[in-house]
Amino acid sequence: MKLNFAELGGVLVAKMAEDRLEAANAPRFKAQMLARLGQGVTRVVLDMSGLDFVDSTGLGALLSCNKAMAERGEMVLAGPGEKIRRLLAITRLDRVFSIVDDVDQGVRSFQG
Amino acid sequence: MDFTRRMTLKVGSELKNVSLVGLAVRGVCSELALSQGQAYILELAVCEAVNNSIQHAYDQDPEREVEVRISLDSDQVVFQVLDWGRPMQGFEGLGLVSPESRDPRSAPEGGRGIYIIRKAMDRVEYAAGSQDNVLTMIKFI
Repeated sequence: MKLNFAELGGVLVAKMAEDRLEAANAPRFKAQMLARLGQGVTRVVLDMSGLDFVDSTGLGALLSCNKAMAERGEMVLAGPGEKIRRLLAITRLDRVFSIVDDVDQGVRSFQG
Repeated sequence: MDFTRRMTLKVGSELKNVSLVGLAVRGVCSELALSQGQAYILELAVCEAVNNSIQHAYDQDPEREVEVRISLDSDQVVFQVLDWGRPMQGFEGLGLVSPESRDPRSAPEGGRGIYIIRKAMDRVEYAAGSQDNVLTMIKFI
């Protein structure tokens, strides 16, 4: 699992280089994210636009990151496609995560 | 005349193999009149079932095998996931409700696999036999 990090307007933007977040790679994703978030990050946008498949273990990893950020800031999911949005709706996690259409909207949500 | 088409896949009990099953299910779903979203949820459900076998029945022992049988006819598609490991206990009570919570600090990280399977399919049955364990998932089309 390769993760790319960038800073936009004081917001950490994280993007996965793979198109699947599943049981096979979710533990590595979670470990890398939590390590980065632990470096004093308070605002993070996770770019989901390249993701084509997320399973329940992937959801668990996202929840773990969300939980970590809830202690000291906020995490926003940006640009999940129709399929991932359907999964979030079925599991009712669309009521738990903050979801925006794209990274720019996510960054602006912290600046407004 | 029997118009049912059948396919059987066997994968080694390693999580890295699950996406291969997903690709096969995606291919089968492309034969059906399903939206992209509906097809995704079916692919996801079968992958969740294979994940369960690998992680819970086999403890990720790569020497074991998971078998996936798919049969397709005019009004339904049937997915069966078989393993020969430790059976699930109390399946009837699993995944009946979503373990969600509005509070991001208390939403549980696990326990959604069977729930997703039940939401995706029209009928789900689990038979833990003396030798094999079979999860049967049926979607009417």
